[in-house]
Formats: sequence, structure tokens, C-alpha cells
Amino acid sequence: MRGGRLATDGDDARRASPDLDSVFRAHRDWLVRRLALIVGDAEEAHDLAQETFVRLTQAWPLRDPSEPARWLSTVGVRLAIDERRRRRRWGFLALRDTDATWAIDADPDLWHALRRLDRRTRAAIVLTTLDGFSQDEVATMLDAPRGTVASWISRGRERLRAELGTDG
Amino acid sequence: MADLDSDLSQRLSRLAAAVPTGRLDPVHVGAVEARHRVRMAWMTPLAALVVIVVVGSLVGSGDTPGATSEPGGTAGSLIAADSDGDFTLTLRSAKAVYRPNEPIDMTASLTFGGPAAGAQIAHGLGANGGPLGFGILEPVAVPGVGLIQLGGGYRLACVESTLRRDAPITSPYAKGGTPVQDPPDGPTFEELQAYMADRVLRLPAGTWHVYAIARFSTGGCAGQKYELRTELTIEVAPGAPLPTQVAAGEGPTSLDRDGAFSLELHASKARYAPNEAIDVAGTLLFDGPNESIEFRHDSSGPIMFGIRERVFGEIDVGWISILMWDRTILQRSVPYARPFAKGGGLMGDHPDEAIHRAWLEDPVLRLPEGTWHLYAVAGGELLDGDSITGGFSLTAEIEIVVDDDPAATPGHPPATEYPYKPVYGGADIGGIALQLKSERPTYEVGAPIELSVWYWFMDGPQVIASHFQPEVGLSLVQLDATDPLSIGIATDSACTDLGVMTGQERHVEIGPRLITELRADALPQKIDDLFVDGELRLPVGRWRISASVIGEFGPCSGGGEPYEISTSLEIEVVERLE
Repeated sequence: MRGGRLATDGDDARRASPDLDSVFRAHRDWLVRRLALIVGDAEEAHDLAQETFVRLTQAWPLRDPSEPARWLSTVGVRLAIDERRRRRRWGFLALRDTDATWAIDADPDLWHALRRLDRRTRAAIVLTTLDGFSQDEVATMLDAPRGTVASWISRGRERLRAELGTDG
Repeated sequence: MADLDSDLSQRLSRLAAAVPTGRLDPVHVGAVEARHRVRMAWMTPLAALVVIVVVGSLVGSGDTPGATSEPGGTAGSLIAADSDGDFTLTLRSAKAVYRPNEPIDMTASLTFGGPAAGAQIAHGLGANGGPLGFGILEPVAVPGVGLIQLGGGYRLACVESTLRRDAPITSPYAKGGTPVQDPPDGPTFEELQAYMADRVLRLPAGTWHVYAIARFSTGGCAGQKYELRTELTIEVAPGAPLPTQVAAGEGPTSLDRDGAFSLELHASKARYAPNEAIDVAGTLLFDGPNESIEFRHDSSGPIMFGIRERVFGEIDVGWISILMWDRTILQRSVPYARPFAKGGGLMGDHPDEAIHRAWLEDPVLRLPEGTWHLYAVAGGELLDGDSITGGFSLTAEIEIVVDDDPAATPGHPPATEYPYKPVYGGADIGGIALQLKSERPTYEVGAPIELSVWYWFMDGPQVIASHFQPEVGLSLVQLDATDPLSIGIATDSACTDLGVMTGQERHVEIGPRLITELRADALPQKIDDLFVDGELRLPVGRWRISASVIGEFGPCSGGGEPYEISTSLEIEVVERLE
């Protein structure tokens, strides 16, 4: 992995442009929040966001710098799903307890309902409902067929509807 | 729907806003890498060994490795280890408590954990010619032989072995030693020889301190010396629990019977967490009129295990049959039990090859979330001296669920995808067996049909007359064809002598020349069109694929006994895999 800071200081000033820095400042909290909803753990979301921005420094400049959110979502969500897969393989899930006080204080019912969905379904619902990404865009991000994503969303919403008791 | 949309959007926004985002730190690559290293460090072979040791202690007696288990206590496995520099010697016993005369299942491994890819070690000739040796502190009383001091002898030599970082040198307990007290009527050399030649270690009742040693040097025979030694205490007691590692409980059990033999596969629970050791064991029981019975079986062991679904979507868990028959004697009503043992194949060029290999080498069975079908197979030919007097074949299969959702209802999570389950067809006419395998039951159109066919000879002449050229004929029939067309392809009927050996497998390469029949709604202009880049591709539909071998035992010139053997399997080709 190549070294460097996203912030503009030190030896990597040439590589880290002010534009990159502004992308970081504009999207960092947004990405942490999205990833926290998807992975269900704020600390893990921080790690994943850090890793995502490290990859951004390596990929910069983006081919389409006007839409960094899509790039960040794609890389962040894929990292989140891969990380989950890696941890499951080796039983890392029990390494520490998740501090979910923030979620339980804010909306315990929604938090528990989301936790019953798998990560890909959570990602698809969060990205379409909260950020307005289309199912096609989410399918590209998750590297899954559009029909599959539509089915995740449909089934996920059914479960949320049942769990939250929301009228249809 | 609008209510859910609106409500969900607002509530998700509030929940997202509640996420603690902390200080706006600059992204430090080093910090991320450091965290990553901490996680990935668990995946090194040495760390995997640590995991094994910890687990072994937990499921063992509860004491430190090497402690004696009390009769009637747990029959869990034991592990002890010794390290020197980059080398670790591990001794493992499948159980802490054995019954008298039960095979003692102990294995030692020497692992290199240094930064290099491997190490060159020089050593004498220990167990199986390697650097490992075994022994037992207490002399063992052997009927007809007297007391034997079993010890880890090395024959004087200096040979070099390469110890790769990812490939420990492993050996089951191997006997060596010398008589220390003759029996009252004098020792018999033949009996001593027979005792040593029997690779199975059995012990009378008592407490036994079994050790493993590894003596070697690096930098040549006169280089830096290493001597590692580790020891386990096992108990052999008549009142020991039946030789199974799995506690009785509400777990799933499957039982299969064939004559006087039965095979039971049992798990202590039906549901496990993703990080939980899955305790499954197979028990083979002989309950016939004889005091004991000898049978020969696959060299993988009297009981072999497998998993129907691919682990991580990649690993076919099963056994590798090399058809070098082994022999086992079962005592009547004495269960022969083995914990689930992993074996299987993996792709050497897979990006996660190291992870897959480590998973296979971990003796503890853990599985990701899903519904899994574990099975055990036992079978063999019954022997009276060298004569075959019969045989048996047993298969037991259970279903377990691995799930970390405490709110899960029965049936959740859904079954692990079966598209990865291989499909087999097989036939055995005695003396010759034929097997056909498709890597999966369903393919997406355009994908190559991963088909393999092989046959082998258990006994028989050194030459067979083959009437198919090539040896195997393949028939492809579209089962859901509405208006099928059919072609038969003539094969060269010239007889060819094929040299064969007992136990030899013949793998046949799949190609256009093998196709002898095609029946489908649409026929290609020529059979070669079914193959792209040498790989078979079939149109959408349900297909039955059959393989046949025709020949004679003996050369073409003689009037050998003719044989015909065929088998088939069914697959489906679909527009798109779900």
C-alpha cells in the first residue's frame, strides 16, 4: 500500500490536492454514518471509512470527480461486505462487543429491525432510501444483478414493515 | 407504501445523524495498516496453531495440555506444544480417555513459523523417515512379547527436508522401541515383529505419558541443533465413555445399517454459532456373531467425512481416495468412533488459497452461516485371511444450521446454495467401478459443463480389452425436449489392450471423441460445435449425461470375461443462475 496523508501536509503534498482534501471533509462524516447503518457498528464504520479514503488517495484523481459519493459508497460498501465475510470466516465477530448506545438512544426499534437484515440488504435500503441512489446504481455498487438488488430491497422492506408495524 | 417510504426515510436520517463521527482526523495510512495487520495476523500459520492449542485445551480435560483426564470425564481432544525459535512441535490426541484396545489416535506436527518461506532442516530417520519421533514413558505389556519400552528412535543418518511455512511435517504415532522384560515363556521374535509392524497403537488400561520429539539442525548436519519435546497424558480405562467425542444430546443423528454393521453420525446440537466448534462424530459398530471382524477399506480410514455444500463457496470437503486399501479389525459391540475429519481440495491459484488451506488444516470444524449437510461414509470388504467373504456400505447424513441470529426461526437462514453441490453418478460391478461427476447440478447457459469421468480396477488381470475408442462413451440426452432429434455416433470398434493395475484410476479427458449419442431439440452441425476451447457447453434444458465402458477382462486375443458398466447423472442448464 502506498503511503501518504489525505490532508495536505508533509511529503505527499503533491499527491494530495486541495480537491481531495475537500472531498474528504465534505464526505467523511456522511460515509461513516452510512457505513455505521450498514455494518451496525460505529467503530467498524470508522475503520472502513478510513480504508475507503486511503483507497481514494490511491485512485485519485477519479475519472468522474464530480460524483465522489458514488465512488465512496461503492468502495466503502464493498469493503464492509468483504470485511464481514473475512471476520465470519475466522470468528472475529466476537472480538469485542458493539457499542450501539447511540442507535438504541435514537431509534431502538429501527436499529433492531435493521440488524435482522443482512448487510447487502441494509446497504441497498440505506443507499436507495436515504441517498436516492437508483436500484441500477446500487446494483453496480454491490456488483449484483439489478433484479437481485430489487429482490433484496423488496424482501428487506417487507421485513421492516413487519418489524416496525408501518402501514402499507 | 408511501407511508413506509416517508417514515423509513425520516427515521433512517435520524439514526444516521446519531452516529458518533468523532474528530475529523486526517487519514493516516499507517494507522489503517496497523489495524489491518492486527486483524490479519490471525491468519498466519503460527497464529492458526495458537487457535488450535486454545481450542484443544477448551474441549479437552479442562486442565492444561498434558493433564490426565479422569475415567468417565470428557473424551475431548488434547493438544500440547513446544517451541524453539521459529519451530513448534505439536502433539495432538483425538481423545483424553480411551478404552482398552481402542486405537490411540495421536499425531505430531512440526511447524515452521519464521519470516522466510521455509527452512531446510537436517535430521536422522525418525517416524516415516522424517524428523519426528514418539515414545511412551511407561513400559507397555504386550502379550507374547513382554514389556516393551516404546521410544522415539532415530536411525543414524543425515537427510535434509524442506519445512515450508504453510506445510507442517505431520506424522501419526509411529512405534519404535525395545523389549525390557521377556514374557514367562520367552520372547517370540515374530510376535515382536508383528507388534511393531502393526501401525495402530493400542494400550492396556492405565495412565500413559505419551511424548513426541523432533531433533534436527539447521545449516546442515553440523549446524544449529534443535530438540523439541512435548508430552500428553492419556487415560485408558474400561469404564471410559464410549469412544465418541460428541456428547449425547438433542442434536441430529443419522443411522444407517447394512447387515451386522451400523454407522451413526451425530452432532451434539442442531444449531451452532458462526464462531463455535461443531462437534460431530461418526461411530461404526459391528454386531455380528463373531468376536471380531477384519475388513479392508479406503486408505482414508474406516469412516470418511464430507460436507455436501462448498465451504466459502470454494472448498469441496471430502476425502481423497488413493485406493491403497487399509485393514481394520472391529471387536464385536465395541464402537469405532472418529470425530469429523476435514479433507478436501482447493484451488491453488485462488486469491484466498492460504485461508482455505488454513481452514482445512484446522482440526476444529467451524462453518460460516448457513444450513449444512454433513455426511459420513463407511464401507469395505470383509476378509477371512486373504479371502473376501462379503462387504458393507453405509452412509449417514445430518443437517445442522449455523446462525448468529438469536431470533432465528426454524428454517432460517436458508439452505446454503446447492448450485455448488457436485452431482455424482457411479456404478460398481465388482472388479471395476465407474464414476461420473458434474461439479454442480445447474449451469448458466454458455458456462462450461465441469464434467469428469474416471474408472478404476479393484482386482483383476493386468490387461483389459477395451472396445470403445476412446475408452468411455458419453451420451447426452435433453430430458425436456419437446421434439427431439437424435444422432448416434459410431465409435471405432477396434479392440485395444489396456494395461491396468489394481487400484489404478483412469481419468478420461472429456472431448468430442467421447460422445456416442446426442438427443435434443436442436442438434449442432457437428459434435465439435458443443465444445468451445475444449470445454463442453450445452443449450438450456435438463440433461441426462451417461457414461459407459465396454470391454473384457483380459487381452483382446483371449476370451476374457466381458463387462459393461454405465452410469448417469442429471444436470440443468438455465438462462440465468439466481
